[in-house]
Amino acid sequence: MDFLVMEMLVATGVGAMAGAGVYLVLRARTYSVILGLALLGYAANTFLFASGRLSVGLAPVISDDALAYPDPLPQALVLTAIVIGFAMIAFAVVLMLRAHADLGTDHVDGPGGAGR
Amino acid sequence: MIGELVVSLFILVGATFALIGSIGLVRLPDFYTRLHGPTKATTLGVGALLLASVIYFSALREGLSLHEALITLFLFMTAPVSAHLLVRAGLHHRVESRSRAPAEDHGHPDPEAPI
Amino acid sequence: MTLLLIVLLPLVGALLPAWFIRWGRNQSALAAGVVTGTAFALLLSLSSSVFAGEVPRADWTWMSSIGLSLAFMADGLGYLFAFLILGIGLLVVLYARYYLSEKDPMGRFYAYLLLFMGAMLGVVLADNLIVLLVFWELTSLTSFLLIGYWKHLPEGRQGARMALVVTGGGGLAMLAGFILLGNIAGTYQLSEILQMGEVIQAHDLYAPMLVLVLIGAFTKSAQFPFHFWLPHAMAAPTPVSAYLHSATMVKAGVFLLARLFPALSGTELWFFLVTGAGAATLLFAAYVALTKHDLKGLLAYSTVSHLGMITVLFGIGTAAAAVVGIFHIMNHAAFKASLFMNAGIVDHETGTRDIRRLSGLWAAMPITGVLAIIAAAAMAGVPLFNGFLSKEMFFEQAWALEYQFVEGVPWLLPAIVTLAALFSVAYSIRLVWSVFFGPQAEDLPKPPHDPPFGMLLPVGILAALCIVVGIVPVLVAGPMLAVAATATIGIAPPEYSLTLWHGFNIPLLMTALAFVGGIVAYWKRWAIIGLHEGPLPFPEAKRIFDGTIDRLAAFSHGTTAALENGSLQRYLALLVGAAVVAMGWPFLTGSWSAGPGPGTPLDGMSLVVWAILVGAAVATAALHRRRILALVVVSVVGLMLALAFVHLSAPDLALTQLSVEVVTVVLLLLALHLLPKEGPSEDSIGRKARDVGLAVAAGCAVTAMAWVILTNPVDTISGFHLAESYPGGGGTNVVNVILVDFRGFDTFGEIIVLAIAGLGIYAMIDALGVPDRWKIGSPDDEVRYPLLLTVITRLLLPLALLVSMYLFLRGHNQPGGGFIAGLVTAVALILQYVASGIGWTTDRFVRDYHGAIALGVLAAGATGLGAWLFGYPFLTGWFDYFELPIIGEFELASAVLFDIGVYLTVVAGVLLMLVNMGKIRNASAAAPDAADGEG
Repeated sequence: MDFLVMEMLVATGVGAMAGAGVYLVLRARTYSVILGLALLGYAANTFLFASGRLSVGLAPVISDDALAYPDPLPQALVLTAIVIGFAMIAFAVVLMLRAHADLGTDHVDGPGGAGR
Repeated sequence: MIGELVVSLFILVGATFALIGSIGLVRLPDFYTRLHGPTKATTLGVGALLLASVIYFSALREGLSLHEALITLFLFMTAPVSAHLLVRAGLHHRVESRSRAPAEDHGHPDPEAPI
Repeated sequence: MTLLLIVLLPLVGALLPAWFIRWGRNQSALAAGVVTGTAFALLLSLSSSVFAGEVPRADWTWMSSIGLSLAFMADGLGYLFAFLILGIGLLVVLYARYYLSEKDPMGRFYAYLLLFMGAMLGVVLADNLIVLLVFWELTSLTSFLLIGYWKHLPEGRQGARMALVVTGGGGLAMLAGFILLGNIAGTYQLSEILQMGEVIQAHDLYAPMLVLVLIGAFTKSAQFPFHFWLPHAMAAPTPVSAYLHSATMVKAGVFLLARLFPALSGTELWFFLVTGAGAATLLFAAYVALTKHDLKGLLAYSTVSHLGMITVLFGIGTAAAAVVGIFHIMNHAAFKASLFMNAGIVDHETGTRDIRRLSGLWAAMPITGVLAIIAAAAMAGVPLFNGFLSKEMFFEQAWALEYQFVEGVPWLLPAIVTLAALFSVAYSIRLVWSVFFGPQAEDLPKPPHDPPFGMLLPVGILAALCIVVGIVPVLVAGPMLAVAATATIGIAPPEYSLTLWHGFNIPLLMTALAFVGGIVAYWKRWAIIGLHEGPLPFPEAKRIFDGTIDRLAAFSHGTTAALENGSLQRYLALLVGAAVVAMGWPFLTGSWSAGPGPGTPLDGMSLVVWAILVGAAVATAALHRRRILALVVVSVVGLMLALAFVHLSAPDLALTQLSVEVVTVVLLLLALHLLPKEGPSEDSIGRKARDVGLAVAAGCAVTAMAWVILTNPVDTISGFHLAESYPGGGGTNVVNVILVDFRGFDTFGEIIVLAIAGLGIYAMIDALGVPDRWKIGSPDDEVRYPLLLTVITRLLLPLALLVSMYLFLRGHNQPGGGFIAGLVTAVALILQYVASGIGWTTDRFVRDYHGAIALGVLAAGATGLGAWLFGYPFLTGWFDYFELPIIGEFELASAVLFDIGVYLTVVAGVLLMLVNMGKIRNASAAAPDAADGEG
């Protein structure tokens, strides 16, 4: 099987984002965790989008001289996912800020967390 | 044929300026000089590319396709403003300028002085 | 119906004594007595049909798919047991009225007692294995409540706990056994299972099923090795011991043996297991009973021993032995309950149960003494008492068996049996002689005297029964025994005679030996006791039990402490690890593998974009401590993603990703204003290495999954959407049509999520009280905004709004739509706040965004509701074409209204989030980076 194809690029791209996201989510400070969540969100969205299989240069809108169309359903789902992902990140950020203000630290385990 | 030549020319010009701008971003010695690259050269390069796009799509379809010109307009309006803000931020943080002797009191803009 | 009532009456009626106690102890006892009496009367009403050989049944189907039905039947065996339960129950109610002291909560006691009674009735009258099991567990639970009735006594609590653990564990094994049995037989109805004996015994699963069921029976009946809980249950009040631990609950195990006798008995395995356990218990418990100094302890072990005897009888497996077993169940209930109540009287009147301290009570408590002698004589097997009859028949069965457990020794079982009977005589003598005869005891806690009539009556009735059955058994016990035996064996019982005299034969010899030996053993009892307490130390069951439970608890504590130590990073690492294993497993087992794949060709630009994306992702992970830099790099990832979407024919996605990216950057920068700009280095090298490992593993797993998906063919349902988008939805931008029309409800939910997030952010910043470190406000006056920025931004606003409207209106047919337009507008408006300050902008624009959010959601909802007005389901779309003079053909669609709602919500939601975040200042006067010491 040929590996030097677009599918491999997409797959490894998703994997790289997921891996970086996982690493960041495992960090000790909430800001890094949020960055990790954002990356994981990107990875998940791209993964979902890829489930419609890749279509390069096809017509996204219905027109008379289009040969084939990309799969619109995963695109619609991912659009929703992007917006909801943003809402979640925003909420998480403000939660992090509020926790930092109330607890005095931005360590994920709260006060006394450093060193576990 | 002529159209293709013109479009290719503009694309090349645009790419060259973008390249020069990027090199400037990397190579120039300090913060303030580095700003010139992306704000001026790259903007010009993008403008040329957009012009090429205008010519290409107008020639390809019937009628002018002008929305790229709008993009150019917006870009030309906002790029200087971003540069201005970046320099102001740099001065506020007293980023070191290596191309001339450190100036006195450039950190705080004089409230009475005109902008 | 009657059957159901008999079971339900005590269960529901348990409330009555608890309620009536407010009017006095007598009233409470009366209530309990009335309930029991009514149930008894109902039972007796069935007697004519039962004795005629019919079997009253009741059946309600509950869940036919798993064969569960609420089924009851009153065959002879069930009738006999129900008679015992209700009859002795009535006597115990009377006895308890006088036994319980003023301080004991009587209402509660009777309530528990009645609950137990109902549960026990359910066990014996059940016709369905599952129903039997449910009531079985209920008896365990209610007996837990009863044993631990005196909550203030530690032995009470520990005894109750031990009983629950052992019988509950047995119940669990029994559940497994019953399920196996139900599967083997194909049904859970007992009446059917009892017909299928041969089929069951020939099945492969017979052995494990039998073992499991037997564990259940043996734990309940305290057979070896599960006997240890019963002596500790003696911490219960005596009425409880008299009822549960002599007459009813412990009999549940042997009841089960009798009930399942036709189905399970007859095989070698049954014989060895049941007879073996029974014989061991019989001998061992009889021996220990002699060495106990507590009256109730002696009686407890003797109960265990007699249950062992019944078990041996059922284990022998012949019909005749089964008959004897049932007979002894009846007799044992009578004399043991009476003996327990007697012990309770002694305890109640003298204040102690210690045999060593008690002596010569005959003078003070003659009636009690007489009754004790009668019951003890029955227990020992003295002729003319009922115990003699069943014991004699027992010897007969043991001798007739002639089984050679050991080569050439056919008399092993009879020898064991005789030895046990010997001990039984010895402890019976001890029970009576040491307590009532001999010199008068000196220092008893209370001066002894005969108890009130209410306590003596039950004992008297039972003792009378012992005599009557002993003298004229055929008349009194005959009919009941006949029907019970028929039900147990399944066919007519064999010839047996209940006469007193069978002639000079071996069983009589055994009896004589037992008597003589017993008297000698009693005479030499201190030697035996010394043997037990001295050179032969027995491993104390309670210590083993407690030790096992403690070790289990310590193990679970240790495991929990290791896995859950409060570190979120550890929990996440475990979670990710588990997820990676779950993701990787199908690859290892081969169920997922890459397909042929379309093999879309590469091109140079894709390669470049890919390289930047991967590089930026890795760089974010590496640079995460330099927070502003990390933010920039992560937005590079987002931008590359947008480019990828464009290349892969998803312009809508690209636009959304781009605009969301911008807003996210603004968001995170606002957050960084309040946080330290550099994160500290605090993870050890080991932890970082572990996390890198996990990340790489996760990345590889996700890559593999994506590769498998991308290379395998797909069967998509979006053919419908593509075909119907223009004719059904009125638009050529299929993605947008899906969002606002086909799957409009999802979008509706999405904007609500956005609204909730916005409102939640507002709440956390403003409404929940401001934390000390923050200062909410917009002190614009001390900041000077650059004029250049302000002017250009003001000029850009109408242009931006124009673009936003353009994107909005063309969204139905070209890439665009409500979301993207909303985000563009939001960014443009945010720029106003950035350029001129929050205060200035708020004075000239919307004061707060809650109303706008609500308006947006309502608009979307109203569009959906509007479809109802026309008789269509929620959110059904509509569109049509109109002619306008200059513009030409113009399409109007209800989806536009929906999109307006989306647009409003997005704008208002995003602005609510960002503007409120922008209002936060650090309470300390210095800028946050100065306070953190880093530039």
